[in-house]
Amino acid sequence: MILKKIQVDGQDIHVQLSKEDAKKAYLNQEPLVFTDEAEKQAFIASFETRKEEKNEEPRNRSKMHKLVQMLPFMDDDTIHELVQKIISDEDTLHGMDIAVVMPFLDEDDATALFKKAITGKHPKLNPIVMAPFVDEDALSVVVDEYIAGNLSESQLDALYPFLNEDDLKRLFKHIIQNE
Amino acid sequence: MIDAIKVGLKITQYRKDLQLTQDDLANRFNITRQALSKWENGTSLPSIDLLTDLCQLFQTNVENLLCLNETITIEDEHNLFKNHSRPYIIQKIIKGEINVNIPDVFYQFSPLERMKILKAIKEDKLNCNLRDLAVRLTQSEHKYLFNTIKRGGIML
Repeated sequence: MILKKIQVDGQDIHVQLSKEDAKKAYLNQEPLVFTDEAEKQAFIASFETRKEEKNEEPRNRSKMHKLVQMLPFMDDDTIHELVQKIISDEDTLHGMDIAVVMPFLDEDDATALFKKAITGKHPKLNPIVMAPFVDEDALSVVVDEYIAGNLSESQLDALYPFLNEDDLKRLFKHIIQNE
Repeated sequence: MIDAIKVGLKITQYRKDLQLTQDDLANRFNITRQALSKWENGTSLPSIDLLTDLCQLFQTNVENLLCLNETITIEDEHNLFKNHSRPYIIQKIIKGEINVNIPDVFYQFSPLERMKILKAIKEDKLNCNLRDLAVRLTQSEHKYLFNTIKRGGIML
């Protein structure tokens, strides 16, 4: 139970607080009384966790922000290295918007990353976000994967607007033949 | 790439030719009127399934409905995206299928679109007057394209 001391008619009395009220009072640095030591520890620990969460988020955002600002100043080899890391390790992408990186990639890297995404081997890479930055000719893989049965209708619906005319014709020919 | 806005205009035209309201057409395909409205204003495109159904209703083929064999003309260079979808225009510029003076129209592009254009220039896929373009670039864009830093008009 969490109590707070208040004065009524010059007398000190303790009133019980709800958890929400207790949190507000704690943040206002008002003295609280805990009837159970374990409850006190748990209550204070909940604030420690919150502080850690709050501290962690800006650190990630800052890291990401720094990387985005650095991208124009990175040489091709460094960016290529970054792409290889993204391809081989899902966690490299932690909190990073892949669309921001895509314009800086050379054609081969963009295609490699897209192929990795389209084959579903990297769950954090979204091919739909990447498609506008991939060379139209390299997007042929979308039709190939669909014909091979490796691409869902919903993925195809999102990707077909980016295909070139030849691939679109090939796609619809396949669809009409299979109807 | 498909010009979603042009496709939307075409769907609207076909619908009106058949004297159907948006509600009529939406009911026929079991979609909401809002979804149809999004197709017509180019915000989205029909799914593959519905595209073939639309072709049957409009008695046309997919190539025609998706405007695949049409050439593009820009009516006003200072309003590049009028009646066209943005990704489509950017793609056509990069492919050299739309002839515009890049430095003159550069202000119309979003930061990501600018990067796509600069990337194409850097990879020699697109030509333009680099001296005219340089003064319109941000510092990081300048560094990206020329590998030099722009400071107060002086190139280092």
